[in-house]
Amino acid sequence: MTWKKVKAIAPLYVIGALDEKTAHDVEAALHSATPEQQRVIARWREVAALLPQALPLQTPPDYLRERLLNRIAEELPQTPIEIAVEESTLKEVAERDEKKVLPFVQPRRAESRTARWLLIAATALLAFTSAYLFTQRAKLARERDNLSRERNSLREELAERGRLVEDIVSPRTRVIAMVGDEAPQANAKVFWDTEAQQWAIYVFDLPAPPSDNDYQLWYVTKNAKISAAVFRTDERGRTVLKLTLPPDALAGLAATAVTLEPRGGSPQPTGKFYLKASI
Amino acid sequence: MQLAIDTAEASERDQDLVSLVESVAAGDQSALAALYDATNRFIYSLILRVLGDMGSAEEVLIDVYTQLWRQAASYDANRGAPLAWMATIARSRAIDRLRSGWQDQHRKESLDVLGDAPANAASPEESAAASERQRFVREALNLLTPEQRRVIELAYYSGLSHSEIAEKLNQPLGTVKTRTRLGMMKLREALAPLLGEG
Repeated sequence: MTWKKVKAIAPLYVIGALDEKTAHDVEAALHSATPEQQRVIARWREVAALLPQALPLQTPPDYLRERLLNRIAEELPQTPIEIAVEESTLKEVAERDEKKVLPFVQPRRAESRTARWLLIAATALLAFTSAYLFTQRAKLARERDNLSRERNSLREELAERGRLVEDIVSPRTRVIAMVGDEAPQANAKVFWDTEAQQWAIYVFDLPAPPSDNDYQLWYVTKNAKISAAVFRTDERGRTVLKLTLPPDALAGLAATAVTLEPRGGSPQPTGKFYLKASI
Repeated sequence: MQLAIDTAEASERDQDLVSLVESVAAGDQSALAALYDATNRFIYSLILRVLGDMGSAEEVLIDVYTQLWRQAASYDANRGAPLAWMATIARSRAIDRLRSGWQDQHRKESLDVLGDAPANAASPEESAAASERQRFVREALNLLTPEQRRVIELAYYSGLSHSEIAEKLNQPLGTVKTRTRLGMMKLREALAPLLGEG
């Protein structure tokens, strides 16, 4: 593919609009592109990468950070200290096993050929067993480390849950129950940290919305309905939202509600109420 | 038509991210944590927009940062800003998940949401600069015709090729290609200040 053609279809390439074969041809052409030509494509990539900057920012759950770091920790190569410890352990095992070996006495020539072969076989078996034990030892050490990391991760998760429970029962936390309207079985609990002015909302039994709709949470004040979040629920009808109340919502906050809106949300509520609560 | 924005902060942020990516490439775990803190909302929003499902978006988010950890050394600052590189990886992983059929029940049909989507509640860490960029890009998208926006969004967020888009919209392939190209060129012109071209 010529550079002229690559340049012409670059805007389509960077947003993934090309069919597989053409995209493959572009990539092949880019392998031999000059640095200047590479920069032209890079610039188009940057245009494409700005598209998601327009999206309403969503916050992933806090526990994902911990999970990521745990996964990375498992992938970390052994440090020089760990390697030294493991080598030292293997040496100890070797020395211990060496002590268990009976002194080998050179047989006299007069002894039978069978006895000599038996000794050779026994030695080979011993060597094989030692090598196997070394390998097993190293494997067990790795498993022990993995279990140790897993235990630490669980401890941290438990501590996090403990903190969550403390937050829930704290006098500064106010609990608001949202009840289903359009979907009567749906319900939600809002845990309002009245010091940090943060909401943690746990939604239950709210059916996953149709593909061209989203749910939208609103702060309802005396003067306005302010969009709080656009969200979807999973196949069990659940989701968790964590929000910080903006100052304009705090002034005169009277209620909160969830409506079904066109995909991406609406500037003002247009759909039916699925959850609501007075405050 | 170009919009106005102060790009000094964006440039400084890019430099910070380049430093973090370099430290991640050197195996610095705390740098990965810092990179995650600085970018997770943007990356998560992108993945969530593609997949439309929180559970799978969370899994893909972890996968993306694990991939960044493994491949940070392959990042070349001469080939684009770090956030663009990260967005490319995130979109690619999310589209892979979408194509795997995992998300069939959630696949999006209407995608005309970028320009007028309401902002989520601001978190304490959300900087004024991020809001400014968000507003700026939305204004740029609003300069496009609805048809141009639609084809770009169908390609970028739904992973559809131009022939799939033509079939979906019942439009000639040539029309889809032209709309996409013109839309992207208009976007590039409008976003020039953010790209250091203004």
